[in-house]
Amino acid sequence: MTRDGCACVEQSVPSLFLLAMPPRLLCHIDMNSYFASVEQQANPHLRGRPVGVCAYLHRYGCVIAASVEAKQQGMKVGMSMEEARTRVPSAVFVQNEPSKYRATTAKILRIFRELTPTVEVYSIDEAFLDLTGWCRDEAEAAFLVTRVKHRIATEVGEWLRCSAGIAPTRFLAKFASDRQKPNGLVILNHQNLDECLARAELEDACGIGPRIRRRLERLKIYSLLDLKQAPVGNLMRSFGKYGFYLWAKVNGIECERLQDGEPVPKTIGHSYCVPMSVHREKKVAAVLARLTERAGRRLRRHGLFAGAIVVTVGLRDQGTYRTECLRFCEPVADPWSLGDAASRTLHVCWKGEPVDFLAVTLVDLSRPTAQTRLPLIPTIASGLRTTDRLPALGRSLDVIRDKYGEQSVVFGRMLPLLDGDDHAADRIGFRKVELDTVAEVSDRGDAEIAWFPI
Amino acid sequence: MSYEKIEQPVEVLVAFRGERPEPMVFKWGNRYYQVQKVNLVHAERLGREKVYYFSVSDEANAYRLSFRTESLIWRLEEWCAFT
Repeated sequence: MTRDGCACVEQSVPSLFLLAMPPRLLCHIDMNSYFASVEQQANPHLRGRPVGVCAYLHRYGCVIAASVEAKQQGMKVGMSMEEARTRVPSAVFVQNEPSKYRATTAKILRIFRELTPTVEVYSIDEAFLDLTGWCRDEAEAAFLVTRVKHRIATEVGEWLRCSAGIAPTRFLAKFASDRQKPNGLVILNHQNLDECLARAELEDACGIGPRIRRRLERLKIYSLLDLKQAPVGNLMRSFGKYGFYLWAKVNGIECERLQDGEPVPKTIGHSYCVPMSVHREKKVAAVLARLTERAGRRLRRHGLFAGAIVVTVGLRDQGTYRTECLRFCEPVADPWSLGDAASRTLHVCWKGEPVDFLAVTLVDLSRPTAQTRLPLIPTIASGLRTTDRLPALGRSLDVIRDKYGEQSVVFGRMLPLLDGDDHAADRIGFRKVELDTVAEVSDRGDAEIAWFPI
Repeated sequence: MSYEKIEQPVEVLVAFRGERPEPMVFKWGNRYYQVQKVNLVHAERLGREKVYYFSVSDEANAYRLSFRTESLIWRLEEWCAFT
């Protein structure tokens, strides 16, 4: 078959595929400048001003969200506070407050879940809603989304705005919601898809970064419409399976279902950009212990065990990172095993140099099995470790902390942090938000003011 | 912008409108402050204790009040003003 013939056959595939499938209605809702908007909602004197929400209020602290006004003046997410202040001298910077954003997200998700039970929380500020079966057509879906926007404004906060995209697939719904910001609503269907793709850059699509773009350009594919019309066989020869996914996504073929439950995490970790004072005050090991303990708490909350622990240290003077991994002889979850392992791993990769970054990641996660490796020579010490005593003691500690707070029980290695400083405090994650943390407030009975109208 | 962490107990007059509480007036030091608007309410858990935060404002200032459900204490957490 000629190359043209091959292309012709391949082009007929999506239309046949789509005819065979029942039409789906997916909606992607993305909150605009979310953290900054929540801060402006809480403090009306920040409204209309350029606001940057920072990880830390330090000149090297990273801007994790910028308000619409700040973005218009050139502030970008990822800039250091110093750089953002140079770019926008009138900007106001505030420290991020994770509990505020999580509680607000919980209220917004509750509105979404009244529309459809199939809601995938993609990150703390965006979600996919499967409206298939709940709306007859895109117009009805658009009406529903407009009502959602109104409810968010009246029931959560009038300063909160969102962009929405309605399309037959997840990818196209997300692509559509990115087309019009802020406060947009875009419907993508097979009638206007080509027109919309032709206007978009390759990197506008989720999953295409600079490297993939360069590789696509080498294949003479310069726009998303070119990608849609490219022969899928050629793409698969260049990119393998990923080539098919790229082609399928822009052709409106669904490759992944909505995950309306909480996915099991593959890794659990915490990191911290270490200020110089931590090194001066010899608190590096204590900060790592706190990071490990927080990762351990999340591990146990998920009912998982870790097969290995990875510690990363950023060296301030050399500008490099050192990473060490320690594999456990059997998966563990108790705080003692995790803490000891983190401490030992730290001292393998760190010899007392000034550090500017610390991270601990629990990997190779697994569900508990009934199998237990017994010690060959049973001693009291080893008996303590291999029987259920340490895990049971760890669970008891978790119960105490759940009841009396995280600081009610601390390990000796964390004592240097007890003087009131907030090193390695709670931080917000952008992707794959854990539903239990979002629902932390909502699921334990705050219904009495959950619908607090403004 | 002036910002200050206060973290002091305050006396609060609250109205229950329908099913929801709304701080109306609070007394900090020897002055009364009238709340004009409740802008955002969120909660967090500190162990078993649940703390509700009310971000409120008047014409000139923004405040954050907290209510602790175990100890039933109101506090003024923050104060913010634009000059």
